[in-house]
Amino acid sequence: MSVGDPASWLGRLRASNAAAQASIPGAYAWAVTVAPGAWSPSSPAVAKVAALAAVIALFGGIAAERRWGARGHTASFWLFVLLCALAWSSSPLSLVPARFDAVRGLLGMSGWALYAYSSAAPASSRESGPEVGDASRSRRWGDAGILGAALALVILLQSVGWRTSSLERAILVRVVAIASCLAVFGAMTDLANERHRDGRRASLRARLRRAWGPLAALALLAVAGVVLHVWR
Amino acid sequence: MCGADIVREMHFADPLAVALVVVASASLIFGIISLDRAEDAAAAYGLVAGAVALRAATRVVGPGDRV
Repeated sequence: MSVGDPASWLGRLRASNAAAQASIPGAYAWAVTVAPGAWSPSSPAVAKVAALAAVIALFGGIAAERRWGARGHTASFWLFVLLCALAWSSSPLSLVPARFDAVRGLLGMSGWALYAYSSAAPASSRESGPEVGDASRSRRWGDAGILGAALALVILLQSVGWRTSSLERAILVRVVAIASCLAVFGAMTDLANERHRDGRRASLRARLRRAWGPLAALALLAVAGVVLHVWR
Repeated sequence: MCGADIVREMHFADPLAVALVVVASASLIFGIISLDRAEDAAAAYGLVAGAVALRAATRVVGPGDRV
């Protein structure tokens, strides 16, 4: 298995423990909420030290879980959370309402929710997945292509809607954008999973018959959109 | 593994579903931009069209009638 093969790092990630899988959303939550406060101009040294120690606790949890099992993971989890709380609360400007950035707060909440979910979920084992280990290399590259396309669409969806001046609308736009990203990513995941199912794909007619309801609604919406555009 | 192999393998993905996901993404982007500009009717149209297109894509590739 070559270094450039996406299955090599995907396989290593799949074989990792729960702490390793939770480290990415944890690092994201830390970067969005804790780091900006800890390294703000008037932040005390204790906030910086606690923030750095939190990162060490987060990634140290990977080794701790391998050595001590679930107890190591639990200790790392609580150490990371408490050190983040210490860093954030030590930063004097973090709790001032005027300094509270709604969009960053929303992204931070999403990050912490993802960290909580990935920390509570059991580690996915290499054996429990579909046929990733047996799939041909070209099929893995196809999966990587679909994943890349999904990421491109998600980045595109996140790159729009940043011009509004109203705080409430900015929050609404970001919530809708995040929900859209999750929906698009879910659909692309279905596409990737479909390629690994056994058997021959049903005919185009059968697939169209299965999806006739949403397709008819989509056609109606397209016609209505054109009519309204011309009418205006 | 050359580029042609990768593209050929990508073709195993359902082209109809891929097209629907692309349409859905375009509609959602239109909806988000409209929402950002406080054009609520256009935003609702784009978001509903995006959601319906995504539903159609998942119905097309969804589990069921492998033969």
